[in-house]
Amino acid sequence: MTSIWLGKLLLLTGSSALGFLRGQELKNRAACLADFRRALGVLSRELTFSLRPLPELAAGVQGDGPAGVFFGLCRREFQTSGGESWTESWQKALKESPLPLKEEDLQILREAGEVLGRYDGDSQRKAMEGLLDRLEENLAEARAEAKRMVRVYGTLGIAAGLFACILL
Amino acid sequence: MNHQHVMPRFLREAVERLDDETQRTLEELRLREGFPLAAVRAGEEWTPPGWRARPITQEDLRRVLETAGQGSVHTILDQLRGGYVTAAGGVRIGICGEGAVQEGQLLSFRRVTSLAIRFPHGIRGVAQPLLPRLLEEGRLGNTLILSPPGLGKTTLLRDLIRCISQGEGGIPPMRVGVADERGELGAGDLRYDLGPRTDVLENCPKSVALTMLLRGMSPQVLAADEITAPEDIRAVEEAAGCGVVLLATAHGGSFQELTLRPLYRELLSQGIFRRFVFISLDRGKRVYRVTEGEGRP
Repeated sequence: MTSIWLGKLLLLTGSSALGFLRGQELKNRAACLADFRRALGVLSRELTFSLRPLPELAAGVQGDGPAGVFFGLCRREFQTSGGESWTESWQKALKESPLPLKEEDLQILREAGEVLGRYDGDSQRKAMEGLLDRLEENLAEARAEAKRMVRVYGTLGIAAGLFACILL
Repeated sequence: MNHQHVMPRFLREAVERLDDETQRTLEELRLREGFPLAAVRAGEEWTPPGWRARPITQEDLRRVLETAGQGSVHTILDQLRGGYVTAAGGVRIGICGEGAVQEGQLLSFRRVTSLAIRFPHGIRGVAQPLLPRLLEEGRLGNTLILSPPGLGKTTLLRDLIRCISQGEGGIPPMRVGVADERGELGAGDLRYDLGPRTDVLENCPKSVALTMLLRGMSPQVLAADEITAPEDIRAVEEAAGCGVVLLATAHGGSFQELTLRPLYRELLSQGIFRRFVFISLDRGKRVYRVTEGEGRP
């Protein structure tokens, strides 16, 4: 009898955790997008005022967030590849980074990689402004989704666990 | 070869296939789309057998420029418009191709078809035997180094600066101000080869740099590579009246050739430069000839 109750408790806990984890993923996506928007914004502003090489500019936007870690990886890729192509290092780092983002977010970051380092400072800044606008839209959508769905997933997880417990 | 860091992998690998002596004395690499890579040594261009099977592609040319700009075209775009890029360590990359022009100004290159990568060479002591002949009543005279492109004007000027800065060849040590517009004379670690009394103003237009050096660093000698523009010549004329010794280089195979250019004709007519060093090639070896006054030996 005790083992049945213990099993039910575990089932409820597991199911609830799954719901909350799914909600956390949504929160992580929003946080990651916000961090990339900040980092790319800094990079874009730096390109307006300073014409330093991208590896140097990228060093200035490093931090503990996902964007900072990504930029660090990007710089390492660039250095180990012999400093040949920032674009290739960017795309490789993007593939290797486990970012909590959707395909449409990653597409924006891939496009940013195609722009950075390949044009004059002004053209890069203009292209980055467009990409930052799209990133902002995705961020707003991610925040709204997180706000709406975190509670839903949490409730669904608990409800599914309770339902399974009743069935047992 | 100390300049591997400015070359993409395919170039590094190609150079590494050359023997040590060739690598050490390599002056230039020539890349032309559709043709194999070529090397230049002692002014002669040739394609080593190991390079003949692989023609240069558009992608190869793009990679060279991308590597030179550390993956950041915006850092070299201004230089691109001038037809060359100076990469780290004073490596100079000349560019040819299809220009994109707007209102008469070259904006960029639509398509790059040729690149010439020139490696700076610090030949220690190359200027020393010439120094006694550059003196005028025991004092160093204003000197112009002349040669066709690629024969080592910059190399000679660099060593001349070092000798003067260190006080070699019977010359007391002097403070040298270097206007290094293209970063070829004293870029990066090259600065340490210019002697202990040398101040380098890098990547700044020569005409501005010469004035800034005069005002700010009180040099005893002013040096500038390749004075070509009217404003450079104006700056040289200004500096000549300030009691400093001038060292400069210019393209020209002979004194007569130089006088064909109106700008230099004017400069020479003022008698600012009293010593001329001509560099020429004789059976693959460089020959240095010093003349004075109006250039007659």
